[in-house]
Amino acid sequence: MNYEPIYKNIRTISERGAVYSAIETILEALYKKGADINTVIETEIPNTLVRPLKQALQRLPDTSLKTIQTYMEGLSKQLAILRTLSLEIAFDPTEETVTVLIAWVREFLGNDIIMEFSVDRGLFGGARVAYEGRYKEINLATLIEKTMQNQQETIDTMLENISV
Amino acid sequence: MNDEFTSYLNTTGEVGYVRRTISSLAYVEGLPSVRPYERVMFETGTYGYVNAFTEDMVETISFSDVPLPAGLRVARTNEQLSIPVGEELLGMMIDPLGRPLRQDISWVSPKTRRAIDSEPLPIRARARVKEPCITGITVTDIMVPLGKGQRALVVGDQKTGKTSFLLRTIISQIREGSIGIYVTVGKSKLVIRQIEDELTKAGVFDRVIIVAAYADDPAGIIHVAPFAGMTIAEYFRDAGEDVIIVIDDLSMHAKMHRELSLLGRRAPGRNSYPGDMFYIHARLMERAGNFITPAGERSITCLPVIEAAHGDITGYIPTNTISMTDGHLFFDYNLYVAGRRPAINPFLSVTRVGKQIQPPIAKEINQLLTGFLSSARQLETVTSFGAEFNEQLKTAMEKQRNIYLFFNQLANEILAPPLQLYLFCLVWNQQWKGAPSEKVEKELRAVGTRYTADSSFRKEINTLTTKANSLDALLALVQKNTKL
Repeated sequence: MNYEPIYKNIRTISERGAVYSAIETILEALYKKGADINTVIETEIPNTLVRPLKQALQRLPDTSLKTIQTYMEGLSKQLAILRTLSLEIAFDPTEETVTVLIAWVREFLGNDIIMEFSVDRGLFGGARVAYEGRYKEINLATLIEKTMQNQQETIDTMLENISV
Repeated sequence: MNDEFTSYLNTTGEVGYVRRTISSLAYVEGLPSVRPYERVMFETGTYGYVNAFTEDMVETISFSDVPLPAGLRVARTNEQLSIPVGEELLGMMIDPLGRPLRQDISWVSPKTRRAIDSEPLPIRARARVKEPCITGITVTDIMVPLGKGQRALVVGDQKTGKTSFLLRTIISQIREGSIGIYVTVGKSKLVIRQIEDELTKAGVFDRVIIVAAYADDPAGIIHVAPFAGMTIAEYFRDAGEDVIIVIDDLSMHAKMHRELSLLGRRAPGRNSYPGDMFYIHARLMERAGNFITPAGERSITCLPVIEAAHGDITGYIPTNTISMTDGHLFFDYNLYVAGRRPAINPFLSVTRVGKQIQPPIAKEINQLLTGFLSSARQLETVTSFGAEFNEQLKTAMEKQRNIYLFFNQLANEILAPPLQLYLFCLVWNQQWKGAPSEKVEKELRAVGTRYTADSSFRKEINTLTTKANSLDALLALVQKNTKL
């Protein structure tokens, strides 16, 4: 089954969490007496997910409860294997920033990737990136510290000359 | 964020995330290049090490007192799990990670570090056990002698005097110039304190290192304790010292290994112990022995302890350990109840290397007593059916009783080998013929006290025992000089 139309709309870990809870709501409603799936999707699920979910269900070969259940369980499994890129930055990212970043990341790494944002106000001019166990800190403060360490002797000499 | 943690992240360029925790086990996603037994640091500042790998996760054992939360970051340290080793450790009580446990003592941590898991030295680096390991316990030194570099299992029920025996052995060996290491595996703080007090009272604590894993420590800490102790022993061996190490006890270590393995969902084997149970202990035991070092032959004498429930030494862990050591001393609960101290059963104890290095006279005594005590045991069975005692039987039974009185020692009594030989001769020559056991016991103690207090008496006995070149000669000499 094709889950891409759904997961390509998921950009972050928190959005994935929202889809998980939507899947749970749908699975719970499936065998409830008198529950209509379309009504459940329209009333109990966040707006952003309503259209893609409805479209996905329409594309299913039949609308039996069993098929919907299989689709939802498959989607849940697919979400679990999405790769994550963690980014630690010094500010709360805006919607626009998130969109730009995810588009850029997906261009290089593929559509099955989502991002995890965290904020560390102590970061100065840079970010910390973690992806598939690899870690990189690109940070102006660290660069300055490193340069100061490497150039310690030169700086000391310069300071001595100034004081003389 | 913890500076050390950040520094590790930046240096190795790798990060992991705790995805699942089960007690001390933390399953980590990420850390693509991590190696087995590598030390890892959790974001909370606690350490752990890599225990195994699953298809998509790294199984780590954390040293944290509380379970780690999921989502926590983990950094590699790019070094094996290691502990600080050096002369500074002498007279210290440390935890298995090398941190001092007593805060009231000023201490500088040694600069050198050693990985706690190391390959045992190959056969070409080993030498035959040549020197006796004097314990100061008569029944051991005469009947089940130990050698320096021997792995001798101490097996027996709870509360049968094992710790007292071990402490006296360590004290004796330290007085002979060795370094002592006492590893406690999951013992109560009270017991560890008593061990520390005993060693301090004997005035040897400055040559001892106690590696203490308390019963309430995390399973990971308890599990590494014997390896940490052995690593320290290896350091001192390489520094040119003979070392004696006590691991009290290996059965608790086996239980910890079982706990961690079952939590890690390894297939359980006999008694639910994992399949690598034998390997873990055998690899540890192989690190002890008599070694050829640049400073000459140096030994690590290892005394692991196994608690055998109800004196049953046929259990899985006791039989495993018996097969990987060079002999065992069996502490018999029935003998303990009968008042024998130490309650070592010489007939159920074995030494595989000790007899070859036993001094000739002690060896003769050993052979003589083995024969005598077993026939006396048979006689005892006969007499229990109500057979009449003739003079010969009476003498044999009295001699047997006196021999056991001679083997009895007080809780902190250490007897020097010449004194042991001298006392044996007195008993064998029937010095106290017809005397009640209380009198014999009193007289034996009196000779022991005089030997310690009176230097001229001590000198005379030492001369006497060195002068004789056979047991018969010694018996004759002692007979002649009974009024020393």
